[in-house]
Amino acid sequence: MVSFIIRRLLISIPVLVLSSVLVFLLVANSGDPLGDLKGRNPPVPKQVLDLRRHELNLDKPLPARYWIWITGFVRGDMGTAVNGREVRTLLGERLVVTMRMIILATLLALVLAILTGVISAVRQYHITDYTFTFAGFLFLSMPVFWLAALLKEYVAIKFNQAFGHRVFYTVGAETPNLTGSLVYRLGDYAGHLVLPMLTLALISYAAWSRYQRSTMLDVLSSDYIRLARAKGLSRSRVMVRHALRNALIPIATVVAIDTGTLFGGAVLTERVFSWQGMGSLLVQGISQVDVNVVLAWLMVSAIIIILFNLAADILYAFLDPRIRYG
Amino acid sequence: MKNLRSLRWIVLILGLALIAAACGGGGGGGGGNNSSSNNIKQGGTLNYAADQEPTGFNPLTSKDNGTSVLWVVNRVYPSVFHSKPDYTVELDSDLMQSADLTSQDPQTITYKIKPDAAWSDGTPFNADDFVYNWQNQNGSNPKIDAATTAGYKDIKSVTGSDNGKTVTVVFKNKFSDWKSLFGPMVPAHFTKAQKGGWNTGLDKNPQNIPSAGPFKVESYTQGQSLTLSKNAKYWGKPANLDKIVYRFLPESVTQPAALQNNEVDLIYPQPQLDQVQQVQQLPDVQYQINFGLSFEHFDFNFKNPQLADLKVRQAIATGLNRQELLDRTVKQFSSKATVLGNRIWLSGQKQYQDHSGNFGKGDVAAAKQLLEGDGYTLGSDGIYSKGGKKLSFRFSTTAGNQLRETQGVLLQSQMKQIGIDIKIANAPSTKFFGDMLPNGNFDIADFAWVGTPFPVSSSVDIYRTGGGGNYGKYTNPQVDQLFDQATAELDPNKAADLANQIDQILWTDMATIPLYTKPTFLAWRNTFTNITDVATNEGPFVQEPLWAQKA
Repeated sequence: MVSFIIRRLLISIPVLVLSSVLVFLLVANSGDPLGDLKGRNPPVPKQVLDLRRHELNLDKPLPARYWIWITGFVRGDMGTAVNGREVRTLLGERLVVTMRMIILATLLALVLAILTGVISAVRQYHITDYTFTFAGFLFLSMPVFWLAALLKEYVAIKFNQAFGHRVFYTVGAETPNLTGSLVYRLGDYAGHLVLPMLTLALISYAAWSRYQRSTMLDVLSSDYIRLARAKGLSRSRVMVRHALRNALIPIATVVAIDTGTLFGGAVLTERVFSWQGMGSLLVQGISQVDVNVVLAWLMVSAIIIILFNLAADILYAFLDPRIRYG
Repeated sequence: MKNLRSLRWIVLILGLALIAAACGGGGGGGGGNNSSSNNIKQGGTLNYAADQEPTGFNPLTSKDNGTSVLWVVNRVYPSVFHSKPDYTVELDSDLMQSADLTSQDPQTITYKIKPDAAWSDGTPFNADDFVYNWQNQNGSNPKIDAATTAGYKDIKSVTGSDNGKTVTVVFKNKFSDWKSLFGPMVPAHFTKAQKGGWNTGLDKNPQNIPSAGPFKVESYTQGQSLTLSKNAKYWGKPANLDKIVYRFLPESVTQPAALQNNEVDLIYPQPQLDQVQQVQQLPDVQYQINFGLSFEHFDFNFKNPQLADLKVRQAIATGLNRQELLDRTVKQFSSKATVLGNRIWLSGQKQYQDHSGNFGKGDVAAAKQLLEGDGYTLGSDGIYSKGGKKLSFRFSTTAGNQLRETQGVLLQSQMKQIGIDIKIANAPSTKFFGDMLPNGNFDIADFAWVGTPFPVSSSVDIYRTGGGGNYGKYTNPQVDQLFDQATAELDPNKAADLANQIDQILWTDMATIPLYTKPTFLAWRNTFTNITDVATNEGPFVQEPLWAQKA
């Protein structure tokens, strides 16, 4: 298992380097990071433009710029953004914000997906199954920004107005200058988190529940389930220990990979709720032609995805003894 | 079974999070109007939804020379003059006793600083600050990042006397807009002592930067918010509010809901129609739509042989229906929107004169007549050509800007009527401003010039031969000479007349086509009062000390 993990990690290094070269070339050729300065009135003096160009290494050829970046990255230095901020610090802050949003959203989506998927499978073609199927497709087809707008208008604002007390927030990750007891602060965090978490969770759950339903149906129709029942095992024991456990194996992979991707930022969710996470950092980096920001984002996101893929493999071994002992 | 146990934990965590959510929050709301300035309550906090986070805290560098920085530090750093809602400027009488032109030749300005004026760390505000701010903006050191050297490069000397409280500035070249200088000013003693000095020394820890204004930076959480609090050491009239919180909400479409949900108290976004309509329906919110000092225009590239022909430019300007452009874009925000007839003095300024004449009224027949008189013949495809070359131009603007993209489409259809083919070639703003404009890679470009209360000096580089903002490479020695005269004319009325003469020539030459001044949109919860838009680069934030809670 250990050699498998090391092999997987080693294979990912050239993939990372190649993708960083491609992204570097794409971003570096997509515009001029100093474009905004050039459009100002009164015009920025030429000597200042030259100075900024030099500071950002824009006066060097592309291979030299890439070399400066990659050697810095290996040493843990991700350079500075166009606005002068250290990219490493920026990325750290944004990653924390994104994690706050996606961890609970993923857990909620997973719980909902497993519950509704399993119930739908067990009660196939019953009214419950139809209801869950309808809900699943509804959220699957609903654009994030639309769902977010509905939640803001009809959950947050209406709820707060009805109770005359602000419980749910529509923007940001927390109230500025937050002080008070731990419970109060946790309440504030939760009040800010509920809407983006629900948005993200409902969209993710919709796809995962369909997946869970179909795998559960496959398992329920398999011979070993029939055998377990024929042996006289209780329905609940068959369902949980034999059916559900096996039906969780495929979804573990899907969830691990999807969650890894989410760490790169739930771009739309972050933007509609004004959370300054990884997704908005990517958008900002691309719009400002900020090569260092986009490359750092790419590398960190890619590394997280690779780690989550590994985690999926390890989960497989945990859930499926055939792999563990094989 | 382990899975079920995990599920129980997950459900428990979610439950706790939701219970905790119910414990959070705070109330808001209220009513009233903005008319009274006496009926105010001291103290309180106003939350402003800022589109952008400051890039640093020295707005005099090119890196930080944006409104995201200026609007934060404008009442933290001292300025000799501040702008008023009528686009004029007034002396900051808390900071200065006087600032007078004491000699015409050589031009000499004598600044007298209030004896009590001091930075919040106790260091007196004096001539050292004037000298330091001049030395770093006069362009003498190529390693210094100065957003502009305009005016400062014309200064010969800055000297202090009277214990540093009198500053005498002598110019080597006359500079009519001298009131635009020395504002804002960064603290000399503090900035010099920082690693990185002028260029980057003020990038971090703004809460340590001393203030010489009614507010100081209290805290800054990157990616989240910045808080200004009342400067306890301020010697002048204190601010009414205790704190102003700048919440960084980069997506302006989220701002109306945040305003409605009492999460922010004031918004000042680039207006979008649906956003304005949404805010107009909110019960406890007041708003203002103004037309400021930024104006949209079409820039011609004189390096294009066909556009270098005056008759062609005149034909475009004659066939263009600016009113239709206005009606289909900014007129939807406000019925006060009007087309612009001057490139230097804008609609709200008292020196404004409309020189557009018969241009921009969509006269198709006259436009065609101009082209035919110039030797162009109409082809079977409805497009004029001369010498086998069709009249076809690219229209470029910043992609994604809906108003400008609409203007491009309208221009295309209007020009088709007069036999000119327009091809849309928009680009992202970084490419548009970074490559297309400076490298002359355009035919007709649509963008805005951001004006200041000092339009003469800020227009020089746009229309003068070889000017940095003269992307179309327009040239007229008479215009150059008049700009020399206007920038050196110390009588404001004569300078204004000269500027109007310049604009008349620009119309005759059809150097560019001005369209309209851009709307601004300010909305605030009506629990606050004394809030008015100042549609200059200082924005409504110049009046932060007056903002107050209603009693």
